Amino acid sequence: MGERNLAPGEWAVLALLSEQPAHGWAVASQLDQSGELGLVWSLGRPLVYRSIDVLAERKLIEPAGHEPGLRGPNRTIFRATPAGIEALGHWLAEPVEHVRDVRSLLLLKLIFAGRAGTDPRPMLTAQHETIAAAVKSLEARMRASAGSETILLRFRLESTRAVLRFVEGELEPSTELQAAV
Amino acid sequence: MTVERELAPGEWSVLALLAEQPGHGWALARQMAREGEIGRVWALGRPLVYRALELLEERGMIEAAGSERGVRGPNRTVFRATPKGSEALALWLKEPVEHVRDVRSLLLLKLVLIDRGGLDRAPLLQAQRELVVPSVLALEARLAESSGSEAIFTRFRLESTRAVVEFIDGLLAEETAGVAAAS
Repeated sequence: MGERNLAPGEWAVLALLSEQPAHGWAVASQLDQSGELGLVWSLGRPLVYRSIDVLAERKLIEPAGHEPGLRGPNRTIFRATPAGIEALGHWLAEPVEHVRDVRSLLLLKLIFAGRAGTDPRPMLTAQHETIAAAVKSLEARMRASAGSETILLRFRLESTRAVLRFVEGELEPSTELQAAV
Repeated sequence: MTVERELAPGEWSVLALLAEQPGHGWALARQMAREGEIGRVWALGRPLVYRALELLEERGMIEAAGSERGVRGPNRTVFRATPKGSEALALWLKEPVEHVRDVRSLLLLKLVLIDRGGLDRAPLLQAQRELVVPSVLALEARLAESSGSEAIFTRFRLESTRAVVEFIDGLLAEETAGVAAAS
Protein backbone atom coordinates (compact mmCIF):
# COMPACT_ATOMS: atom_id res chain seq x y z
CA MET A 1 0.00 0.00 0.00
CA GLY A 2 1.09 3.55 -0.64
CA GLU A 3 3.74 2.34 -3.04
CA ARG A 4 5.05 5.06 -5.26
CA ASN A 5 4.35 4.75 -8.97
CA LEU A 6 7.06 3.16 -10.99
CA ALA A 7 9.50 5.59 -12.59
CA PRO A 8 9.71 5.70 -16.40
CA GLY A 9 12.98 3.78 -16.38
CA GLU A 10 11.42 1.05 -14.25
CA TRP A 11 8.51 0.74 -16.69
CA ALA A 12 11.01 0.51 -19.51
CA VAL A 13 12.85 -2.36 -17.78
CA LEU A 14 9.57 -4.15 -17.08
CA ALA A 15 8.46 -3.71 -20.70
CA LEU A 16 11.74 -5.12 -21.99
CA LEU A 17 11.49 -8.14 -19.67
CA SER A 18 7.91 -8.76 -20.74
CA GLU A 19 9.11 -8.91 -24.34
CA GLN A 20 11.76 -11.46 -23.50
CA PRO A 21 13.47 -12.80 -20.34
CA ALA A 22 16.93 -11.33 -19.96
CA HIS A 23 19.68 -10.58 -17.49
CA GLY A 24 20.50 -7.10 -16.24
CA TRP A 25 23.42 -6.67 -18.54
CA ALA A 26 21.34 -7.27 -21.68
CA VAL A 27 18.60 -4.91 -20.44
CA ALA A 28 21.21 -2.26 -19.70
CA SER A 29 22.62 -2.40 -23.20
CA GLN A 30 19.16 -1.80 -24.67
CA LEU A 31 18.69 1.20 -22.42
CA ASP A 32 22.13 2.55 -23.15
CA GLN A 33 22.19 6.04 -24.67
CA SER A 34 23.12 4.57 -28.03
CA GLY A 35 20.47 1.83 -27.86
CA GLU A 36 17.12 1.97 -29.63
CA LEU A 37 15.30 3.00 -26.47
CA GLY A 38 18.09 5.19 -25.22
CA LEU A 39 16.96 7.86 -27.69
CA VAL A 40 13.86 8.34 -25.57
CA TRP A 41 14.86 7.08 -22.16
CA SER A 42 18.37 6.08 -21.29
CA LEU A 43 19.21 4.48 -18.00
CA GLY A 44 22.68 3.89 -16.64
CA ARG A 45 23.72 0.38 -15.68
CA PRO A 46 23.47 0.89 -11.88
CA LEU A 47 19.94 2.26 -12.27
CA VAL A 48 18.96 -0.73 -14.40
CA TYR A 49 20.08 -3.05 -11.60
CA ARG A 50 18.24 -0.94 -9.05
CA SER A 51 15.09 -1.04 -11.21
CA ILE A 52 15.37 -4.83 -11.38
CA ASP A 53 15.52 -4.93 -7.58
CA VAL A 54 12.44 -2.73 -7.27
CA LEU A 55 10.48 -4.75 -9.83
CA ALA A 56 11.46 -8.06 -8.21
CA GLU A 57 10.49 -6.76 -4.75
CA ARG A 58 7.08 -5.88 -6.10
CA LYS A 59 6.78 -9.28 -7.76
CA LEU A 60 6.39 -7.71 -11.17
CA ILE A 61 9.37 -9.73 -12.37
CA GLU A 62 10.97 -12.95 -11.10
CA PRO A 63 14.18 -14.90 -11.61
CA ALA A 64 13.89 -17.41 -14.44
CA GLY A 65 17.28 -19.08 -14.36
CA HIS A 66 20.95 -18.27 -14.74
CA GLU A 67 23.32 -17.84 -17.57
CA PRO A 68 27.04 -18.31 -17.10
CA GLY A 69 28.81 -14.94 -17.32
CA LEU A 70 31.72 -14.39 -19.69
CA ARG A 71 33.79 -13.48 -16.70
CA GLY A 72 32.75 -13.48 -13.11
CA PRO A 73 29.58 -14.85 -11.59
CA ASN A 74 26.49 -16.25 -13.24
CA ARG A 75 23.90 -13.79 -14.33
CA THR A 76 20.34 -14.07 -13.14
CA ILE A 77 17.78 -14.03 -15.90
CA PHE A 78 14.52 -12.25 -15.08
CA ARG A 79 11.11 -12.48 -16.67
CA ALA A 80 7.90 -10.50 -16.18
CA THR A 81 5.32 -12.16 -13.92
CA PRO A 82 1.61 -12.26 -14.89
CA ALA A 83 1.09 -9.40 -12.40
CA GLY A 84 3.86 -7.45 -14.12
CA ILE A 85 2.39 -8.01 -17.56
CA GLU A 86 -1.02 -6.90 -16.34
CA ALA A 87 0.37 -3.74 -14.70
CA LEU A 88 2.29 -2.95 -17.87
CA GLY A 89 -0.85 -3.37 -19.98
CA HIS A 90 -2.71 -0.87 -17.81
CA TRP A 91 0.14 1.57 -17.94
CA LEU A 92 0.44 1.37 -21.72
CA ALA A 93 -3.29 2.00 -22.10
CA GLU A 94 -3.30 5.07 -19.87
CA PRO A 95 -2.66 8.57 -21.26
CA VAL A 96 0.07 10.68 -19.68
CA GLU A 97 -1.29 13.09 -17.10
CA HIS A 98 1.02 16.09 -17.46
CA VAL A 99 2.04 17.64 -20.74
CA ARG A 100 5.57 18.04 -19.40
CA ASP A 101 5.88 14.24 -19.18
CA VAL A 102 4.93 13.64 -22.77
CA ARG A 103 8.48 13.94 -24.03
CA SER A 104 9.47 10.95 -21.95
CA LEU A 105 6.43 8.89 -20.98
CA LEU A 106 4.20 9.13 -24.03
CA LEU A 107 7.09 8.37 -26.37
CA LEU A 108 8.06 5.36 -24.24
CA LYS A 109 4.50 4.05 -24.28
CA LEU A 110 4.21 4.47 -28.03
CA ILE A 111 7.48 2.73 -28.64
CA PHE A 112 6.60 -0.23 -26.43
CA ALA A 113 3.12 -0.49 -27.93
CA GLY A 114 4.76 -0.52 -31.36
CA ARG A 115 7.24 -3.22 -30.33
CA ALA A 116 4.46 -5.32 -28.80
CA GLY A 117 2.23 -4.81 -31.83
CA THR A 118 -0.64 -3.46 -29.70
CA ASP A 119 -2.88 -0.69 -30.99
CA PRO A 120 -1.99 2.65 -29.36
CA ARG A 121 -5.08 4.41 -30.72
CA PRO A 122 -7.34 4.18 -27.65
CA MET A 123 -4.56 5.63 -25.49
CA LEU A 124 -3.76 8.30 -28.08
CA THR A 125 -7.41 9.28 -28.38
CA ALA A 126 -7.60 9.76 -24.61
CA GLN A 127 -4.31 11.65 -24.71
CA HIS A 128 -5.65 13.91 -27.44
CA GLU A 129 -8.54 14.93 -25.22
CA THR A 130 -6.37 15.87 -22.24
CA ILE A 131 -3.97 17.85 -24.41
CA ALA A 132 -6.70 19.67 -26.32
CA ALA A 133 -8.11 20.76 -22.95
CA ALA A 134 -4.66 21.97 -21.87
CA VAL A 135 -4.34 24.01 -25.10
CA LYS A 136 -7.72 25.67 -24.50
CA SER A 137 -6.87 26.62 -20.94
CA LEU A 138 -3.45 27.99 -21.95
CA GLU A 139 -5.07 30.06 -24.71
CA ALA A 140 -7.43 31.60 -22.18
CA ARG A 141 -4.65 32.22 -19.67
CA MET A 142 -2.47 33.83 -22.30
CA ARG A 143 -5.21 36.25 -23.37
CA ALA A 144 -5.57 37.35 -19.75
CA SER A 145 -1.82 37.78 -19.14
CA ALA A 146 0.70 40.57 -19.74
CA GLY A 147 4.45 41.13 -20.02
CA SER A 148 6.87 38.31 -19.22
CA GLU A 149 3.98 36.11 -18.20
CA THR A 150 2.62 36.27 -21.76
CA ILE A 151 6.00 35.23 -23.16
CA LEU A 152 6.16 32.19 -20.89
CA LEU A 153 2.55 31.23 -21.54
CA ARG A 154 2.94 31.61 -25.28
CA PHE A 155 5.88 29.24 -25.17
CA ARG A 156 3.95 26.69 -23.13
CA LEU A 157 0.99 27.06 -25.47
CA GLU A 158 3.09 26.43 -28.58
CA SER A 159 4.83 23.46 -26.94
CA THR A 160 1.46 22.01 -26.00
CA ARG A 161 0.09 22.58 -29.49
CA ALA A 162 3.14 20.73 -30.77
CA VAL A 163 2.21 17.72 -28.64
CA LEU A 164 -1.31 17.89 -30.02
CA ARG A 165 0.02 17.89 -33.61
CA PHE A 166 2.30 14.98 -32.69
CA VAL A 167 -0.59 12.95 -31.30
CA GLU A 168 -2.71 13.77 -34.34
CA GLY A 169 0.14 12.65 -36.57
CA GLU A 170 0.39 9.35 -34.70
CA LEU A 171 -3.38 8.86 -34.97
CA GLU A 172 -3.34 9.26 -38.73
CA PRO A 173 -3.34 5.99 -40.61
CA SER A 174 0.26 5.24 -41.45
CA THR A 175 1.43 5.72 -44.99
CA GLU A 176 2.61 2.11 -45.09
CA LEU A 177 -0.91 0.91 -44.39
CA GLN A 178 -2.30 3.21 -47.02
CA ALA A 179 0.23 1.90 -49.49
CA ALA A 180 -0.81 -1.67 -48.64
CA VAL A 181 -4.46 -0.83 -49.38
CA MET B 1 46.92 34.67 -19.46
CA THR B 2 43.82 32.67 -18.98
CA VAL B 3 40.95 33.01 -21.40
CA GLU B 4 37.88 34.39 -19.68
CA ARG B 5 35.05 31.96 -19.70
CA GLU B 6 31.72 33.05 -21.11
CA LEU B 7 29.31 34.24 -18.43
CA ALA B 8 26.68 31.72 -17.36
CA PRO B 9 22.99 32.53 -17.89
CA GLY B 10 22.47 33.23 -14.18
CA GLU B 11 25.36 35.69 -14.24
CA TRP B 12 23.92 37.47 -17.26
CA SER B 13 20.60 37.65 -15.42
CA VAL B 14 22.19 39.35 -12.41
CA LEU B 15 23.89 41.80 -14.76
CA ALA B 16 20.59 42.46 -16.53
CA LEU B 17 18.81 43.15 -13.25
CA LEU B 18 21.54 45.61 -12.28
CA ALA B 19 21.32 47.28 -15.68
CA GLU B 20 17.62 47.85 -14.99
CA GLN B 21 18.25 49.33 -11.58
CA PRO B 22 21.08 49.35 -9.00
CA GLY B 23 20.57 46.82 -6.24
CA HIS B 24 22.20 44.81 -3.48
CA GLY B 25 22.79 41.09 -3.37
CA TRP B 26 19.88 40.37 -1.12
CA ALA B 27 17.31 42.01 -3.42
CA LEU B 28 18.85 40.30 -6.44
CA ALA B 29 18.73 36.92 -4.75
CA ARG B 30 15.02 37.40 -4.17
CA GLN B 31 14.38 38.09 -7.85
CA MET B 32 16.53 35.12 -8.82
CA ALA B 33 14.86 32.71 -6.38
CA ARG B 34 12.75 29.94 -7.86
CA GLU B 35 9.51 31.83 -7.27
CA GLY B 36 11.00 35.22 -8.22
CA GLU B 37 10.36 37.09 -11.46
CA ILE B 38 13.51 35.88 -13.19
CA GLY B 39 13.82 32.70 -11.15
CA ARG B 40 10.71 31.29 -12.80
CA VAL B 41 12.73 31.09 -15.98
CA TRP B 42 16.23 30.76 -14.60
CA ALA B 43 16.74 30.31 -10.88
CA LEU B 44 19.98 31.01 -9.04
CA GLY B 45 20.56 30.26 -5.36
CA ARG B 46 21.69 32.99 -2.98
CA PRO B 47 25.36 31.88 -2.73
CA LEU B 48 25.61 31.81 -6.53
CA VAL B 49 24.12 35.29 -6.77
CA TYR B 50 26.88 36.57 -4.50
CA ARG B 51 29.48 34.71 -6.49
CA ALA B 52 28.05 36.23 -9.70
CA LEU B 53 28.39 39.70 -8.17
CA GLU B 54 32.05 39.05 -7.37
CA LEU B 55 32.79 37.82 -10.86
CA LEU B 56 30.93 40.67 -12.57
CA GLU B 57 32.75 43.20 -10.42
CA GLU B 58 36.10 41.56 -11.13
CA ARG B 59 35.43 41.90 -14.83
CA GLY B 60 34.42 45.54 -14.53
CA MET B 61 30.86 44.88 -15.63
CA ILE B 62 29.33 46.14 -12.42
CA GLU B 63 30.63 48.48 -9.73
CA ALA B 64 29.76 49.46 -6.19
CA ALA B 65 27.44 52.46 -6.15
CA GLY B 66 27.09 53.03 -2.43
CA SER B 67 25.65 51.13 0.45
CA GLU B 68 22.32 50.74 2.09
CA ARG B 69 21.75 50.19 5.77
CA GLY B 70 20.72 46.62 6.46
CA VAL B 71 17.61 45.89 8.50
CA ARG B 72 19.79 43.78 10.75
CA GLY B 73 23.49 43.27 10.47
CA PRO B 74 26.00 45.10 8.29
CA ASN B 75 25.43 47.60 5.50
CA ARG B 76 24.72 46.19 2.07
CA THR B 77 26.72 47.21 -0.95
CA VAL B 78 24.57 48.49 -3.79
CA PHE B 79 25.87 47.59 -7.25
CA ARG B 80 25.13 49.06 -10.66
CA ALA B 81 26.05 47.99 -14.20
CA THR B 82 28.99 49.80 -15.79
CA PRO B 83 28.85 51.01 -19.42
CA LYS B 84 31.08 48.03 -20.28
CA GLY B 85 28.61 45.67 -18.61
CA SER B 86 25.58 47.21 -20.30
CA GLU B 87 27.26 46.97 -23.67
CA ALA B 88 28.20 43.32 -23.23
CA LEU B 89 24.68 42.58 -22.05
CA ALA B 90 23.10 44.22 -25.09
CA LEU B 91 25.22 42.04 -27.37
CA TRP B 92 24.36 38.86 -25.48
CA LEU B 93 20.66 39.65 -25.56
CA LYS B 94 20.74 39.88 -29.36
CA GLU B 95 22.59 36.60 -29.85
CA PRO B 96 20.34 33.66 -30.77
CA VAL B 97 20.46 30.42 -28.80
CA GLU B 98 22.51 27.81 -30.60
CA HIS B 99 20.67 24.59 -29.70
CA VAL B 100 16.94 24.10 -29.98
CA ARG B 101 16.99 22.19 -26.69
CA ASP B 102 18.16 25.38 -24.93
CA VAL B 103 15.28 27.46 -26.22
CA ARG B 104 13.05 26.46 -23.35
CA SER B 105 15.47 28.03 -20.89
CA LEU B 106 17.88 30.44 -22.56
CA LEU B 107 15.74 32.03 -25.25
CA LEU B 108 12.91 32.56 -22.78
CA LEU B 109 15.35 34.10 -20.33
CA LYS B 110 16.65 36.53 -22.96
CA LEU B 111 13.14 37.46 -24.02
CA VAL B 112 12.03 38.10 -20.47
CA LEU B 113 15.12 40.22 -19.78
CA ILE B 114 14.57 42.17 -23.02
CA ASP B 115 10.94 42.71 -22.13
CA ARG B 116 11.80 44.01 -18.66
CA GLY B 117 14.51 46.28 -20.06
CA GLY B 118 12.06 47.70 -22.62
CA LEU B 119 14.43 46.73 -25.44
CA ASP B 120 13.63 45.65 -28.99
CA ARG B 121 13.27 41.88 -29.24
CA ALA B 122 12.89 41.75 -33.02
CA PRO B 123 16.64 41.32 -33.80
CA LEU B 124 16.94 38.33 -31.45
CA LEU B 125 13.73 36.77 -32.78
CA GLN B 126 14.79 37.17 -36.41
CA ALA B 127 18.24 35.68 -35.76
CA GLN B 128 16.72 32.81 -33.78
CA ARG B 129 14.22 32.07 -36.53
CA GLU B 130 17.02 31.82 -39.07
CA LEU B 131 18.74 29.26 -36.85
CA VAL B 132 15.68 27.14 -36.16
CA VAL B 133 14.10 26.91 -39.61
CA PRO B 134 16.95 24.78 -41.04
CA SER B 135 16.51 22.37 -38.09
CA VAL B 136 12.85 21.97 -39.04
CA LEU B 137 13.80 21.17 -42.62
CA ALA B 138 16.48 18.70 -41.53
CA LEU B 139 14.03 16.92 -39.22
CA GLU B 140 11.39 16.74 -41.97
CA ALA B 141 13.93 15.06 -44.21
CA ARG B 142 14.93 12.65 -41.45
CA LEU B 143 11.33 11.77 -40.66
CA ALA B 144 10.70 10.90 -44.30
CA GLU B 145 13.50 8.35 -44.09
CA SER B 146 12.90 6.86 -40.67
CA SER B 147 10.57 4.17 -39.35
CA GLY B 148 9.62 2.49 -36.09
CA SER B 149 10.70 4.12 -32.86
CA GLU B 150 13.05 6.45 -34.67
CA ALA B 151 10.11 7.84 -36.63
CA ILE B 152 8.14 8.39 -33.42
CA PHE B 153 11.07 10.14 -31.82
CA THR B 154 11.85 12.24 -34.91
CA ARG B 155 8.21 13.27 -35.33
CA PHE B 156 8.16 14.44 -31.76
CA ARG B 157 11.35 16.47 -32.18
CA LEU B 158 10.01 17.91 -35.42
CA GLU B 159 6.81 19.12 -33.79
CA SER B 160 8.73 20.55 -30.82
CA THR B 161 11.03 22.41 -33.18
CA ARG B 162 8.10 23.69 -35.24
CA ALA B 163 6.67 24.93 -31.94
CA VAL B 164 9.70 27.19 -31.53
CA VAL B 165 9.08 28.71 -34.97
CA GLU B 166 5.40 29.18 -34.14
CA PHE B 167 6.38 30.80 -30.86
CA ILE B 168 8.77 33.21 -32.59
CA ASP B 169 6.23 34.04 -35.30
CA GLY B 170 3.58 34.66 -32.67
CA LEU B 171 5.83 37.13 -30.87
CA LEU B 172 6.80 38.84 -34.13
CA ALA B 173 3.13 39.15 -35.09
CA GLU B 174 2.40 40.64 -31.67
CA GLU B 175 5.07 43.21 -32.43
CA THR B 176 3.53 44.15 -35.78
CA ALA B 177 0.07 44.29 -34.25
CA GLY B 178 1.42 46.55 -31.50
CA VAL B 179 3.02 48.90 -34.01
CA ALA B 180 -0.17 48.94 -36.11
CA ALA B 181 -2.25 49.73 -33.06
CA ALA B 182 0.11 52.51 -32.01
CA SER B 183 0.09 54.21 -35.42
